[in-house]
Amino acid sequence: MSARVKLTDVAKRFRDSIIFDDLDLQIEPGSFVAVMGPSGCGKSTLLRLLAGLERPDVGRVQVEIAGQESPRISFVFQEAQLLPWRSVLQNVTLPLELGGQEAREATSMAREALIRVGLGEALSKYPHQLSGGMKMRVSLARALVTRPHLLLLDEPFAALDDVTRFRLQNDLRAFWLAERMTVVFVTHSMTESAYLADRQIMLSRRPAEILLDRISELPPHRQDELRVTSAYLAEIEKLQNQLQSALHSRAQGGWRLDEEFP
Amino acid sequence: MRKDSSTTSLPDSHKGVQTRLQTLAKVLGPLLIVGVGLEVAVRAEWISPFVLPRPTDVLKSLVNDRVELLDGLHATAMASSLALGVSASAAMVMALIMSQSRWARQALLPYAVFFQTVPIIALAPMLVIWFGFGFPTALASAVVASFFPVLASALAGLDSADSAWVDLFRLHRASAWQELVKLRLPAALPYVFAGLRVSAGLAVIGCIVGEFIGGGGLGSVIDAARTQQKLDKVFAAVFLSSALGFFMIGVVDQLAKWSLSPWHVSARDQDA
Repeated sequence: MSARVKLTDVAKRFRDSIIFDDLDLQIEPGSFVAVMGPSGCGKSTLLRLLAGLERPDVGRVQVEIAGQESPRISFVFQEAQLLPWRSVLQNVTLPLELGGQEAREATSMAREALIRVGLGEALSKYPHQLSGGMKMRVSLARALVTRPHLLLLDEPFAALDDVTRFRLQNDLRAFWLAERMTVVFVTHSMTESAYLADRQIMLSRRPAEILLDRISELPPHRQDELRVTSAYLAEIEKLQNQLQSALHSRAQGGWRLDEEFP
Repeated sequence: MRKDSSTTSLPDSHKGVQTRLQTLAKVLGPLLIVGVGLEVAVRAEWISPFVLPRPTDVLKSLVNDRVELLDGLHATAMASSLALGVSASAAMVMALIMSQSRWARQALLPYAVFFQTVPIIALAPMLVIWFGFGFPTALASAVVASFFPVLASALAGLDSADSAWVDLFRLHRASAWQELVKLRLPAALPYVFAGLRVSAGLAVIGCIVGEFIGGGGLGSVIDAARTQQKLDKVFAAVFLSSALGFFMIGVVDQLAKWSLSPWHVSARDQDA
C-alpha cells in the first residue's frame, strides 16, 4: 500500500524569507518523484512538510492511504545519521522499537532489511567501522524496515563516489519496483533524477513554484546498461531543454539554467 | 589502531604487560629524577629541611606512620568516593530536570553555578556547624566541590543529540521517555564521563578541605603534622591524597572504557 500526497495552497515562511507562497502539488500513490531545484529553494522544507516535521503556515498537507490506518513515513537524510552507540542491527530495529514492535520480531525484520541492502554480514558492526556507502545502506534499511507508505529521501547519495552511488540508485529503484511505496527523492542532480524517477519536478528559487513537472519516458526497469544508452542521454537532454524553456517563459528578465544551478 | 594489527610475535598478554611496564616507567621516571634531585639538594643544605623534607624521610614516614596514614586514607577514600556518587547522581537528576524545559534551566542554573563559584574553604566552617565534626563535613564539602562538572557536562551532553536524530525520533512518533532513554542519555554519556573525571579529582580536594576544618581523614593528618612541623608526614599524606585522586580518576576512566568502548572515539584503543 502506498500513500497519496496532496499539498493545497501551502504557504511557509521562516522569519523574513518566504519559502512557499501558494504551492499546490499532487503525487499519485506508488509513484517515484524526483524534486530538483536550486540550493536553498525549499526542497528540504517540502520533505519536512510531507514528513510532518514542519507545519504549513497556510494551506494543507495531506498524506493519506486507503482505510483507517495512519500512513507510515520514512526519511533518509543527506548523511546516514546512524546512532553511533548502536550496532548496525540495533540502528535498523530502532524505528520498530519506537513503534512498540516486540523485540524478537523487530530483530528478525531488521535482519531481513539488512540482507536486502546487502549488509547481512555486518549486523554487529558499529557505524564508525563502516564506509560511507555502507552507512547509507544501513540508513536505507532503517527506512525500509517499517515498510513505509511514503519514503522521503533528501539528497541521500550526494556525498558518495560514483560507483557506490550508481549501485545504490539501482537498489533503490529495485526496492521501489518491489514495494511500490510512494517515493519523493530530492536531488540537485539532473542525471540522477532522470535515471531514478518517473516524474520530475523542478522548483524555482524562493518563493518556490513548480517550474517544470514532467513524466519520464524511460522504461520502468533500469539497470546500469541504461546509463550508456542513447535513450537515457536523450532523456537528460529533453529534461534540460524543457527546463530551459520553462525558465525562459517564466521570467523575461533573463534567468539562465546555470544561474539556477550554480 | 587495533591490537591485532601489531606485527610483533609476542602473545597478547605479554604485550599487554610490556606496554603497561613501559607506561609505568614513563610516568615514574620524572618522579624518580625529581626525587633524587631533591634528596641531593636537601642533603647538601641548598634547601632548608624546614622548607622541604628529604624524599627518603617522606618514604620513611610512609612506613613508620603507616597506621595513622592508612586510617586517614581509608576515611578520606570513603568520604570522597561516596561524595562523588552522591554529587554525580544529584547532578544527573538536576541535569535531567533542567533539560526538560527552558524555564527549569533558567530557574536552577544560578544555584548550580553557586556550587562552582563558592570558595569551599570559606564554606567549610559553616558545614561543620550544620553537619558536625568529621565524616559528615568531609562528605558535604566533597559533594559541594564535585557537583558542578557533572551537571555542566551532562547538560551539554543531553543537548548534544543531532537535530536529524531528533527528527528521526519525532518522525517515528517516539514518546518523550523514548527520546530521553534511547537518544539523549546515550548521546550524553561521553560528556558525563568527561565531567566525572574532573569531579573525581575535585571530590578528593573538597574532602581534604572539609577534613582540615572538621577533622578526620588525611586532611586532619596533614593539619596536625603541619602544626608539629613534621614536614615529611605532611608530604606523605599529601602524596597519598594525590594517589587517591589518581586512583579515582582511573576508576572513572575504566568505567568509561567499559561503557563507551564499542562506539566512542575516546574509549577506543589508541596505542598498540
